[in-house]
Amino acid sequence: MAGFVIKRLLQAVLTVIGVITAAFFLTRLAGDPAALLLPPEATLEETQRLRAALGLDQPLFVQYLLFMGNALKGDFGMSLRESVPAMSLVLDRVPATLELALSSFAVGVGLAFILGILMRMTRHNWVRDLITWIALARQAIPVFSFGLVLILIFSIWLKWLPSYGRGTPAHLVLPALTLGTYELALYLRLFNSSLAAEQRNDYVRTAFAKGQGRIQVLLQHMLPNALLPLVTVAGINLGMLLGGTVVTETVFSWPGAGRLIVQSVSQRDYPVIVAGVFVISVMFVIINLIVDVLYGVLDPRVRLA
Amino acid sequence: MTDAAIAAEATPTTALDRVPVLSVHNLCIEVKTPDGERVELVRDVSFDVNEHEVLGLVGESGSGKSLTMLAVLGLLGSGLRIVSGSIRLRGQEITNLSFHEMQKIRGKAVSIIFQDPLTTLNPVLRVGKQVAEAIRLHNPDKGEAEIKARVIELLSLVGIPNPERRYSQFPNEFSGGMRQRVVIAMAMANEPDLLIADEPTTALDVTIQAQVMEVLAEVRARTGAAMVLITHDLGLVSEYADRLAVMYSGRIVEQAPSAELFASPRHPYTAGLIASLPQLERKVETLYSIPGFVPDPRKRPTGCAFAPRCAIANGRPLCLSQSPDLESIGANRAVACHYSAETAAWSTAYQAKLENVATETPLPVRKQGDGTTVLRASNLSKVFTVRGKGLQRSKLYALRNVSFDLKAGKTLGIVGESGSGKSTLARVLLRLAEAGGGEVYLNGSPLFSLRGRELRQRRRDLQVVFQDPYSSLDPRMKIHDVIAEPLRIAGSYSAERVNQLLEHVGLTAAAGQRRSPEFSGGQRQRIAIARSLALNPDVLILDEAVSALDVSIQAQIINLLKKLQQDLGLTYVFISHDLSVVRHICDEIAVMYLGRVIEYASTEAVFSTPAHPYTRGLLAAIPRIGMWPHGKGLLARGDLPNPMKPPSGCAFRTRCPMATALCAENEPVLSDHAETSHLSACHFALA
Repeated sequence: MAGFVIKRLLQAVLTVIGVITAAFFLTRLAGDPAALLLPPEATLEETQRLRAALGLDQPLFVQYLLFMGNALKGDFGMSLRESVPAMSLVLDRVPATLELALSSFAVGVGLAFILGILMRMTRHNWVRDLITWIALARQAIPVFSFGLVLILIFSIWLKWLPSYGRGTPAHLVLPALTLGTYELALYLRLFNSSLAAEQRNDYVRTAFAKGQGRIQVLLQHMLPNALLPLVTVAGINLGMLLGGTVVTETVFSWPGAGRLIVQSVSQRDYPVIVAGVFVISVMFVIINLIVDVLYGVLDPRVRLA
Repeated sequence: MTDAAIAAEATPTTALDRVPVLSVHNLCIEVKTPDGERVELVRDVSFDVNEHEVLGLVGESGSGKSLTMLAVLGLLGSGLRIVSGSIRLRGQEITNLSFHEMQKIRGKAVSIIFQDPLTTLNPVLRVGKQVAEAIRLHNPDKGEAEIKARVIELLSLVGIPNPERRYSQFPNEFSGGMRQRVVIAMAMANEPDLLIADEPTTALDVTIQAQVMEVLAEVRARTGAAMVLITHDLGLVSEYADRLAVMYSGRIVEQAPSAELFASPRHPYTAGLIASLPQLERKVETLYSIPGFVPDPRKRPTGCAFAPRCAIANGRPLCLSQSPDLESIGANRAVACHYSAETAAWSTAYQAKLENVATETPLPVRKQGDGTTVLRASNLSKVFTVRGKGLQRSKLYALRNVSFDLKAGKTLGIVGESGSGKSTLARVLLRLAEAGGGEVYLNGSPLFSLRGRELRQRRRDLQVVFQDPYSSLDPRMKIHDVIAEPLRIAGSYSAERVNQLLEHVGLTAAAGQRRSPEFSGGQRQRIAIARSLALNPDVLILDEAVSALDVSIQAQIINLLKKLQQDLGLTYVFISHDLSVVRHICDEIAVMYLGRVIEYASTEAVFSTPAHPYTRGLLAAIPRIGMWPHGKGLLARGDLPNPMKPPSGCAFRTRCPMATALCAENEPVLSDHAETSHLSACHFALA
């Protein structure tokens, strides 16, 4: 197991280096930040001075080596817009991003888990149909509109919850619900079909033949097996939630890293972009590593292979 | 010692003994299909199982045998229900019990062993825990330590070495045979009155089957449990069951003590099944095969369900109009046939016909090839590199120096347990896998150096039929197109050729317009054979081609293969684990063990004077009708060794009853004995 983790960690480091290399070159392709930073009437000299100050006059490859050297020390340069280190700007936003991603993830997976079990245990077909229908209908509504509807109902009409910003747990409810329920249909369908597939296995019949009850068989025997595909997909999705919550963050004015990166892109604040990409990719590979380890814990066949 | 004898010796008769352990009366089970139709799957089934007794429940797939026993456990699937009848366990009616009430009975009074030990155990739970669960459920007052001690006791009872260490391992660390032992330990945990064994050894190799049946007999002897042995294997029930019930299309058609049933079957279906079974003791040119196939339960014929396939019904009005009741004939016997008295005459006549063929006329001479070698393998080897932990790599020698020489029109049988390299050999011969060394010559020219177009041309002469006709045919293609595909690729398509091929395998041209899901397993295998014949190959590789089929269908396909060989002068490589079938169809046999050929001789020589102890072990392990007890001292012991770490010297020595120090040092070479063409690789061959 330790060897496996070390191997995966090495792979993770390579992945992160690859990602920031790509981010570095892509941001350089996007255009000259000096032109954007200075007022349109700036002279050529002024522009060149700024370019020299930012190191933009060096050959691209030298710029890259300098950048990587600094990045190793954790220095991603100063933000071009606000004269603070790019990294600290990003790190300020990370808690907000994590908070939203993890809580909406918990909503999605948690609801899928509960509803999935409920669908297996109920003897009424209409309950199953209703749950499936609600989950699908929710997925059919775009995040943007669903968020606005929630704001309309809970913030404007009922005045129960704040409509924007971050601070109290109450601020978290609407964004987490918006994002979390969007993932629900996928998780639920996956979980339900893998539970249904497990039900056909002989070990389930064997457990019944030992004298176990329905709930015991479901929880002790089928669940650990049925969780495997859910863990894989949920892991990938959690990674995507970290970087891809921009729409939700925008609707609820949530100060997350995703929104910061989008803003920085439009301002060509490339140190912030690269720092942001770095942080998100690190979180992504860590989550993937956790998923792999978790897979080994859940499935002895993976561990022993 | 028979079970009856054990019973008589071990237990004094008590009042309880006279109450049957299980008593099923007029049981009817029906299924509600998605379109609301009700179909009876089990019809009016009645039988008793007495203390210490083994009842064999025999029938082909779809006969209702497993359903009947699932009903006893109260585990019928959704859509299935008991319509009428009664099931009593020790006199207690259980059909009216709720699922919850049945929980106290399941695993306590009755337990079950399913067919496939690979899926019966939960892959993510430790083995000890799974056995412990069975104990804990019915003994809530037992402490953890007590339960663990009992689990270890059970594991050693079923012959699992190192039970303490095995306790905390996962199922995938066990071999198939060892897993089935765990399943038996689980089933015996609460010493049930009745054990249901549903095809308990069908998924296992024959040597392992013998070991597992042995364990079952031992644990039953200890606890005195009665058993219902559900199987399609007539040899197996003949050895292990005291009494048999034969099921056909949802009904019991015959019940009798085992020995009597095999000596004088009274139902024509039973007689037909016995006649269609290839046997080790005799080789016949054509097996009897029951014509047609088991009817769809939705379209059962009126009258006797077996009438359309029956050898004695001859379309008599009574058979066609009235379903016969199961009527008692003499003590302990019952049969459901209007003309059961005629079955004996049919059997005798059939036997006489066989003997006439065997003694008076020599077997019809096959359309012989000219005796030239069609397929020659020379020193084939194949090594797989298997990734271990970290950077570890180990080598698996799947084939080691495999050579054979196959003459035109002959059949070579390749036999061995799973893991012996049979299927790798097939893949290498077909060049679906590249050999690590050696060469294959097809009609004298080497095959391995061919590339691209040349290879594709030559491949047409070498075709294959796989085991599973359900996955080897594309369900979305019309049968006509399935068979036409190779012809179209070769540019020689014509509709007449496809129809001719269909006719060769006993199907009509009209069948070509349907798709494979509409056909039964046997029909699908016919289609697969037709497809393989499309390009007029010289050699057919039959990789377990009849193993997945029911007995009566298997006989049909074997006969078809033999007829095609005669008509078309085909040469076969017949890969199988079933020695009785191999004996029936093959001219020569190569026995493989851990990638090597350890015996290679004519079929007659292998069966009459097996030279290698492994071959003798295989032969001894085959259950056969009326042959109990057989030479159990010859049985191969234990499991196949880890092929990645084969034993030094002779690979078989770890399981060999004759092994000495010499065997650990020198690996015997494959050589002849007494200047015959009988090759074997053993220091003590023919000893």
